[in-house]
Amino acid sequence: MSKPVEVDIALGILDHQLVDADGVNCGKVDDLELAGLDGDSPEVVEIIVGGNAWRSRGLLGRLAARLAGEAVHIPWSEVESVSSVVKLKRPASELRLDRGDRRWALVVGKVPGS
Amino acid sequence: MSLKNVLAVALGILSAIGGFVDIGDLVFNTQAGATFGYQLLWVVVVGVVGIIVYSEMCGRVAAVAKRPVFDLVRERAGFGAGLGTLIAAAIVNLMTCAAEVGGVAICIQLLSGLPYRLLIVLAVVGLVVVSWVLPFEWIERVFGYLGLCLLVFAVAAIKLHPDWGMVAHGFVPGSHTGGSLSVYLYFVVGLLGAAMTPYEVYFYSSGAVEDGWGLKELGLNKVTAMIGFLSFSLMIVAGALFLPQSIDPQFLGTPALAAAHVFGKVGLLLALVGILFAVGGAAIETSFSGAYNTAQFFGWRWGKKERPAAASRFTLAWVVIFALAALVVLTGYDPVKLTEYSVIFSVVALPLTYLPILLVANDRTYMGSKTNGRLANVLGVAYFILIIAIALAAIPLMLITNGGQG
Amino acid sequence: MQSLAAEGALLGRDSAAGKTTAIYTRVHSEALAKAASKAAASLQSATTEPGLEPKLRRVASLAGEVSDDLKQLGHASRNEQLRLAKELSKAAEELG
Repeated sequence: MSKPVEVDIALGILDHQLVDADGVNCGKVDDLELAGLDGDSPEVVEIIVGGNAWRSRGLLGRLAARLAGEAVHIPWSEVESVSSVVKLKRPASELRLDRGDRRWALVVGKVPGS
Repeated sequence: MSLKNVLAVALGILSAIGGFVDIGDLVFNTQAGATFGYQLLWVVVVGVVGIIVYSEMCGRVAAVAKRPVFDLVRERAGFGAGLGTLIAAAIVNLMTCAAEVGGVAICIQLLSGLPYRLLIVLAVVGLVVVSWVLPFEWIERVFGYLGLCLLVFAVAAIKLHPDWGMVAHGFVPGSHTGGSLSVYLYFVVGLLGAAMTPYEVYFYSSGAVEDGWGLKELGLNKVTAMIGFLSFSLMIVAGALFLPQSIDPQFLGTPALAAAHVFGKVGLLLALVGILFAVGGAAIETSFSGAYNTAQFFGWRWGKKERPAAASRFTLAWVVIFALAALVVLTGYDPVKLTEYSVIFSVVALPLTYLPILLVANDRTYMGSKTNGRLANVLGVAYFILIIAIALAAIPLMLITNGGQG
Repeated sequence: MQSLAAEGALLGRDSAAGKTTAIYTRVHSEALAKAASKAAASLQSATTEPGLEPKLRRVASLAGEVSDDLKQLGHASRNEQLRLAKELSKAAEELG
C-alpha cells in the first residue's frame, strides 16, 4: 500500500545533502523516522544521520552500520528548507553533526599548515 | 574577449595539455605505435571527442546545478547503487594512482640514479607536501607547464620524418596490418580507456564547483582537444622509431630514449621532466578524485579551498589514498603492468562511472532548462553504447592477447 | 627477447654518440638486463620437441649473450658501447 505524501517525502529528501545554517556540509539524510503511517497524515519525525543509520538500507547498509557508532537524530523541526539540499536552522556544531570532522581534525591538525 | 579572458583560455589550454596526459596514455600510445605504427591514430580522436562530450556535461552540471556529478549519484541512484559506484571507482582510482606514483618514481630514478624503492616513498611524500601546501591554481600551473616539456615528442615526431601519407591514413579506421585482430582490438580498448579515464572528469567536475564556475566559464571546456595532440605525438614517434626496429616498449624509459635519439641529452631531459610532471599531476588528480568521491558520497565537507583540518576527513582521504598507492607500488609490481591493468579495469568500470554523468545532465531537477541538447544526447548515448561494448570486451581481450603481446 | 636486444642496441648507439646521460644509460640498461636475464633463464630451462631442440638451444644461448651484453652496457666506455650495440643488433636480427 502506498501513501502518496509519504512516498513523496521519502523520495524527496532521502540521501540528500544536509547543510547547516552556515551552508556547510554536514552529512546526508541517511535515514528517516516516519510517524502516522497508518493514519492519513504520515509525517517525517526526524532525520537520522551517520553512525548506524544505515541499518535499514539493505545488506551493504547493515554491514556498514555494524562498523559505525550511534547515529545522530535531527528532529524535523530543525529543518529550515528543503530544496536541492536540506538546510538546517542551526550550525552543525550545535546539532552534533560535526563530530566526524572534529574527531579527525585532532589528527590532521597536528600537521603545520592545516 | 577581454585580455583577462584570453589569458585564462590560454592558461587553460596550456595546463590542459600537461595535466591530462597520464601514464596510461604514455604506455598505450607508445605500445600502440610500436605495434601498429600509425594505424590507431583514429582511436585517439574517438577517445578525445568522448572525453570532451562527457567533460562538457560535467562542466555544465557543475555550472548549473552547482554540485559535482558524483555528489548527485547517491541522491539520484540511491544508497546501494551509489555505494557500488563509489567502491568500483575507488578500486580503479587506487590502481591508477599507484601506477602514476610508480611512473613518477621511475622518472626520478632515470634522472638521478637513486634507488627505486626509496624514490617511491620520496615521490609520495613530495606529492602529499605539494598538495597540502600549494593551492590548486599553483599545482595546475607548475605541473601543467612543466608537463608541457612533453611537446618535445611533438617536435621529435616531425623530425623523425614519418611517412606522412601513412600517418594521414592512420586517422581513418580500416583494415590493419602487423598484428592479429585481437591485439588490434585490445589496443583500441586500451587507447580509449586511457583517453577517457573517469578520475579526470570527476576531478574536473569538483574543481569547477569549487571555483564557482558559471556558464560563462564553460568555454574552457573545448580546450581538452589538446590532449589528443600529445597522444598522437607519442604514437607517431613510436611508429617511426620503434616499429621499424622491432622494439616493443616495456619500460617507461623507452619513450624517453626516442627523445634522446632525436635531440640528444636535451631531448632526454625534456622528455623525462615532462613525463615526471604530467604523471605527477595525474597522481594528484587521482588521489583527489578519490577523496572527492568519498566525501561527496558521505556528505562530508570537501574541497581544496577548505583548511585541511576543517575538512579533516576529506584531507585524510586523499592522504590515505597516496599512502595506499605507495604501498601497492612498493610491492615491486611492474609499474607498466600496473598501468595496463589500471586502464583495463578502468574500462570495465566505465559504464558505471559514466552513466551518472549522462543521467544527471539530462535531469531537469538539477539542470532546469540547461539539460542536454540533442547533439549532447546523441553523442552521449552513442559513446555510452561504445563504452558498454569496450567494457564487455576489455578483460577477454586482455586475457586472449596476454596484455597485447599477441 | 628480440625487442630487448633491439632496444639495447639503440640505447648503446645513442649512448655512445653522447645522446644520453650516464645515469639514464645505466638505469635503463639495468632494467633491460633484468628483463633479459629473466627471459634467458626461462629459455634455458625450457624444453621442446626433439626437432626443435637445436634451435631452442641457439636461441637460449643468444638470450644469454644478450643478457650479458645488456649488463655491461651501463658501465661500458663509449667504444665498448658501440661494440656491444653491434653485437646486440646482430642478436636481434637473428632472433627476429
